[in-house]
Amino acid sequence: MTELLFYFLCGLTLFPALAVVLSNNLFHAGLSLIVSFLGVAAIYATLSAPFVAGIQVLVYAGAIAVILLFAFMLTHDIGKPLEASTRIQQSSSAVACLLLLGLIGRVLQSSGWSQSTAPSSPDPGVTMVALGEAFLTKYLVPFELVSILLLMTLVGAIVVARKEEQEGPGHISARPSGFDQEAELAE
Amino acid sequence: MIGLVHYLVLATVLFIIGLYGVLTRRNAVAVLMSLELMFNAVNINLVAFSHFRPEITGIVFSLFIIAVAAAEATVGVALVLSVYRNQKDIDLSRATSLRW
Repeated sequence: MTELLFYFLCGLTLFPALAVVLSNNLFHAGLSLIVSFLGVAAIYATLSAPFVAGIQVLVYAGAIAVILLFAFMLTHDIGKPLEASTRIQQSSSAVACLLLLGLIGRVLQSSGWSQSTAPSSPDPGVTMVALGEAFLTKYLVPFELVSILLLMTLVGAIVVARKEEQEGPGHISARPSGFDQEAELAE
Repeated sequence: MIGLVHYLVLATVLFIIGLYGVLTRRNAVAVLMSLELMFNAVNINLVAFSHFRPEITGIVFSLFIIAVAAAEATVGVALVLSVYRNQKDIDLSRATSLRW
């Protein structure tokens, strides 16, 4: 039964992931990305990590996928198909990926991890209490650093993405931005 | 019986799929999507280890990775929008104004 569930969840994760990578329509790719994230969340749930599963649904399937879809719709005409990369790029990337797959598979074979199975006693999973205590004692410094990181990201994203301010009246700023940098580079 | 290796193989395949997407996609948003797949693969690894050798560290790290991935996606999207404003195109093979 658990085997069946596991393979079903594998399919639910991997086939949409393939669609994300191979689809010609990026909007469909984004929707498949959400399905794949939900599959990964279910896998977390089977690994007795319900809190991570919930966060996965909230942050990945909720926030990140929607941000990416918004970015795509702001920058691309939905009807237009994507430009594919050249044949030689595709084939060399496929060869590199298969080589890496073989390497990792070889490492997994020789690791001896195939003997480890689930803990014999029914695992209650990591409780939220234990998680909260770990975050506020042992991992307090990284936890606070993450909040600083998120604040910096917020400010940085706004600074990078907003329109350049118009300079004062009388100043010539009709040149397309980016033009002067290119001229400097050409020197 | 589903063991640790099953989850590791699943994570590896997901990682490879994401890597292929990063290498072959030319649209910047598509590359970001493939990157998120790779993040997910790494997270599956961490949570699986944390489950099979009962310890909390893996789960803590996966939560940190989720937070950092959210930050990465935000900054990435801001950069994509900035590039789009400057050259009306987010094809990575044509974003060459910083190339020496």
